[in-house]
Amino acid sequence: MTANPIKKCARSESWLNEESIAGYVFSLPFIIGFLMFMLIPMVLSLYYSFCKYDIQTPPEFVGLNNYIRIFTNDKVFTKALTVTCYYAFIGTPLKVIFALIVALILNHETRAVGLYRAVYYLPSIIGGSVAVAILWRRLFESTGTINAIFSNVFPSLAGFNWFSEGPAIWVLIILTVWQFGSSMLIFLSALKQIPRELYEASWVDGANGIQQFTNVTLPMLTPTIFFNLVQQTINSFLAFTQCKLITNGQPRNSTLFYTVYQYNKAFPAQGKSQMGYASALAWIMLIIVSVVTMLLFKSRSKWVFDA
Amino acid sequence: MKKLFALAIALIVVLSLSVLPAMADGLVVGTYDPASAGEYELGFGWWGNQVRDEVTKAAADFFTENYPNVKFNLNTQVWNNYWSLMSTYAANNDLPDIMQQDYAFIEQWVAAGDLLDLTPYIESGALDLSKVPQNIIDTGKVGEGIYAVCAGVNAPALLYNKTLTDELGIEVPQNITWDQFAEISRKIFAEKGIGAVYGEGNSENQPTYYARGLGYQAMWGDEGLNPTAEEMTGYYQRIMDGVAEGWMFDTDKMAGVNLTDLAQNPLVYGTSSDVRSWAAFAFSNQIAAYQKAATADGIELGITNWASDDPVKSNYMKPSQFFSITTDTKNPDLAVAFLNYLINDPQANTILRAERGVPANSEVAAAIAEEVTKVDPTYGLVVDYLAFVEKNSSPIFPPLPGYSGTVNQDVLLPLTEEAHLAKPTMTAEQCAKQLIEDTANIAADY
Repeated sequence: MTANPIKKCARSESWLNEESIAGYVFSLPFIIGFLMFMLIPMVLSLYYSFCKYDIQTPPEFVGLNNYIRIFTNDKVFTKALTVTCYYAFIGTPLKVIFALIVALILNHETRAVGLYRAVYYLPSIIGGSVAVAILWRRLFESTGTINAIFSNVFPSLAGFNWFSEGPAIWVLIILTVWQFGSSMLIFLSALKQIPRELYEASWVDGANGIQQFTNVTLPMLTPTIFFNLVQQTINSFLAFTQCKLITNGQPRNSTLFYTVYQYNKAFPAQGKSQMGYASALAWIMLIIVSVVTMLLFKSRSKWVFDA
Repeated sequence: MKKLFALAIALIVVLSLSVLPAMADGLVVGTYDPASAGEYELGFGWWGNQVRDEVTKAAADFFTENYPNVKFNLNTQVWNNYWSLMSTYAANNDLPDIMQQDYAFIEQWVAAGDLLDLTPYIESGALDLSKVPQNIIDTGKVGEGIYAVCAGVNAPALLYNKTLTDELGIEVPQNITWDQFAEISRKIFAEKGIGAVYGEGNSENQPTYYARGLGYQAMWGDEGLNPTAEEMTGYYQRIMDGVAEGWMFDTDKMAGVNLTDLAQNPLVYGTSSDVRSWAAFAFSNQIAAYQKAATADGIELGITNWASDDPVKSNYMKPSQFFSITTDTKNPDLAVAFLNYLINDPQANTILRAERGVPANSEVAAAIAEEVTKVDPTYGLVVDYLAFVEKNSSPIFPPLPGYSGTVNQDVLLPLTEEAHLAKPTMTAEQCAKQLIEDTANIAADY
């Protein structure tokens, strides 16, 4: 009589275990990947950020030295951070606005709408690739396509160097705006979910197209705008390929993205690696991105309309 | 008909039998027989250009033809990518068996324990350096060991557009001084709008050459640069004057111009008519690759020394590149045999076309001269130029200290960009002062 419940309990426990083991087995690929490529490198990089480490010799603990040097004696850090913020805070809103405009245009039902959507989405699939970066570089060369078109309209601009200090960052901003596809798709599906009755009601009330847009479409879209804004801002802070391949931070670091600066410290063209310093830079970036995201979420209640 | 066919086949077989073994016997590989190595893939890494990549691959293929059990994993990069990639391999103990090395960096790589001491192989005769002059062998010496073998000899060389200077009736002298160079540049810029590129990028070559002109055999010391800030001011003044006069291109014009890839150098490649250069500060062995790129535009290149106030003090003969065997190799004997082939085999060196510089093995250099001149008309120019430099130069500086790479990247590069600005925000004095101070800081922290 007394042994029975224990036996039953043990049996049910092993049954539970079987289920959870199956769960673990199925999620093992993710868990291994997460441990090997995320968690362990993150913990290691936190440790390295307190070390002087050149990847060839063992790390040497130096306390807060790297952080102190970054904040007191590194002009390039300030420059790279400024450039990245400029890129993120100008490029992201432009991209989101552009995506919204294209989504509104593509929201009309025509026969070819599927084709249009696919075509406009394409840049975001291939946008981060090496091929597009090289294509972009060629387009904006002084003898490239953009200048060939431009010089017909504005002959005085013939041979304009897009990669000189002022315009170079805009070459990268235009590239990110061009990759509006994923935001656009999200906008498109959100547009579909706005109830028709709202438009009908406002139409009956005598609202014109612009009034409908500002009073119905836009408020109903604010949660989507918010989502896109958060996601694209984080992406902008972490952008790497475009900068590394198109400008490599030149000229005079005027297009130096933070991630590229970090990479150049870890894998310099000459001299030994400063992996510890680069790790410290990475952790500072993590904090910055977290703060920016937190501020965006704080601002949510001020402008996002939750139906 | 059938008979004739059989006869032809027999003839081919006889011919190939008589030719092929002779070639196999002919490979100069030292005492180790590569055929005994079993299936092995030799890793071989170098920085290069199109010509070098082609000839090196051909030399490796020729080795495989003779020893089919030895395959190659070839890895070629441009200069800047090469070093960061190799450091990453080194960290992972995954370096290629044989890597190209540079005189300036050799001590750092030995200090990190990545290169194999070749002394035992030289003593056993597996690596035959008996035909290489002792002073050239010594350039691969670090401490008591020999860690690298010179692939060829070269010297800094100003390669210029001879078609253009001939057209304008300009004579480019040997032992050209900076004032002569600036004068010619002004004239060419005034008449053709073609300028010159000088002191760009993350390289210590131009400041070093300048400092040697002042009488410092070595620019780098253990604790910083040997010249003073006052002395280095003239270097930045040269750049600022050139930019102000228009014949040296400012940072904005140079933006987007890729100088590390030789084929895109403004001497031979016109991304834009705004940025064409009449001369490139290069090395003598590079003339073959530059000439190849220039021929498409109908440009013939000439060669002289880098401009300096005192060319004889500034100029030097350099072991152009080294081959080293890394400690990551799994079969050092085979790697040494292949190295011996690269250094001593006349057929290999005919294939390699002296693109890495005139071969250090003097017998080989003489043996290949005729064949190489046939495929590379610039070879004669290089040999003559090197003979001239030998009489008009000073001993080379010692290999660079370890901290120099960081200085190139973090100090020289931003300062040269500053000096090249159309409207610089610093004076030449300030640039030189910052160069000296920041270098001392990095050296102290290294």
